[in-house]
Amino acid sequence: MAADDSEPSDARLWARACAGDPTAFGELFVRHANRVHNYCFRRIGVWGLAEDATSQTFMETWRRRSTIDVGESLLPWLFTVANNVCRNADRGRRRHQNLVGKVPAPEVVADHADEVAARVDDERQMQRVLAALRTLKRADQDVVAMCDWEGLSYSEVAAALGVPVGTVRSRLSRARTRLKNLLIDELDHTRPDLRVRTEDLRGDEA
Amino acid sequence: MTVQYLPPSRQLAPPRVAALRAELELFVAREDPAPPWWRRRRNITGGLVGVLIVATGGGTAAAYAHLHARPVTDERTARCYTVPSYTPGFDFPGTTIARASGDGGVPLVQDALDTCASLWRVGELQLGTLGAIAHPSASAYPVPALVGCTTSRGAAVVFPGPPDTCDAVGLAPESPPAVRPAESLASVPTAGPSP
Repeated sequence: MAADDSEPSDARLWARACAGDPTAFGELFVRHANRVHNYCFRRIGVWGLAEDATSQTFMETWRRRSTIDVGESLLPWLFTVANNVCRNADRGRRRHQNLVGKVPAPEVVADHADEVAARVDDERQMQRVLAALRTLKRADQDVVAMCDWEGLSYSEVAAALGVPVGTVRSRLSRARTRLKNLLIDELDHTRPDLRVRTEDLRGDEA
Repeated sequence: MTVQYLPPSRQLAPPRVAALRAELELFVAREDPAPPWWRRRRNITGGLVGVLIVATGGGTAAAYAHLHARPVTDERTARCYTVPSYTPGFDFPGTTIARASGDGGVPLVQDALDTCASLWRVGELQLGTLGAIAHPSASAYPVPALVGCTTSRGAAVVFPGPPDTCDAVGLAPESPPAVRPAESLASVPTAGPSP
C-alpha cells in the first residue's frame, strides 16, 4: 500500500521527537502501544498493571533518550525498558498512578461480562506461565520474552540487551528447554484440557 | 518455542490510546531539557517584571498577567488542580482530562472549566488530593470557585480559587476569562457516617 510506504520510520519519528516534536513521540506510542501492552502483560500477568507499565515504559524510554540509538525499530528498546519497568511494577505503581489515574476511564459499554471473564482467564493462565518463567535466571527470562514471545531477532535482542548474539542463542536454548518442562508438568496438573497440546510437544521433543 | 502457552493478545481501546498519547505528549513537551547556560537568552520581559515586582509590589505583576491573558490553543488535554498552586511537572495534585473526539481520533477538551467542575461535583476531585479519587464515598460534593488559566504552551489549567489565582500562581488567565462561582450542596448527603 502506498500509504504504508509513506509512513515515517521509527528512526525518523524518534529524531523528530528528540528535536522537540512531541506529536512524533505520540505517533510512536500509537504505533507500538499494543505490542508493549501485551509484552507488559506477559511480564506482569495483570492487565491493569500492564496498562500502567505500558505508559511508564514510554516515559522511561523518553527519559533515557540520550542513551538510545534507534535502528530500524524502537521496539527492542521499548521491550528492554519494559523489562525493568515490569520488575519494578510494584514500586513504580504508586508514582505511575499519577498518569493512569488522571486519564478518564474508558466509556461504559453495553455488556462487557464476557470480556471481563476472558481477561480473568488470561490472568490465571499468565500467572501459571510466569510462575514457571520466574524460576529461570533473570537474563534468561528477558530473552524468552523478547525472542519467543515477541518474535524479535537474535541480533535485535543482542543489541538491546548489550550482549553478543551467541549469548542470546545459548540463553534462549537453555531457557526454552527448562521452561517447556516446567510448563508441561504444571499444565498436566492444572489444565487437563491442554494435555493434548502438551503431549504434542513431548512428541516434538522426542 | 513457548509462545503457545500464552493467552491471546488484546488491544487497548482506541479512546484509551488517544488519552494516554495526549498525556505522554504533554510529558514529552515538559521534559524537554533546558538548554545549557551559554545558549540561554535572557528573558528581558521576565527580568523587567521581576524588577517591577520588587519596585512596586505584586499589584504590578497582576497587571502584567492580566495584560497577557492568553487564549487556550492546545485542546488535547487540560489539567484540573486540587490546590491553587501550579506544579508544571508530571506529578501534580489533580488530574488530567482528555476527551476522545467522535471519530475516535484526537482528544479534545473544549470546556475545561465545566469538565473540572463536574469532577469536583461527583467527588473525584477534592481539595488537596494528589490524583482523582476513584470511588468517592458520597453521591455529590460542593464545587469550589474555579478559575481557568493558560500555560505558555496554550493548555488550559483549572484551579480552585478566586479569579486572581492565575496571577498568584504565575500563569496567564484564560482569554476570554473563565471563572466559575462556588457551588454549595443544598440537601445532598455528604461523606461520613450520619448521626
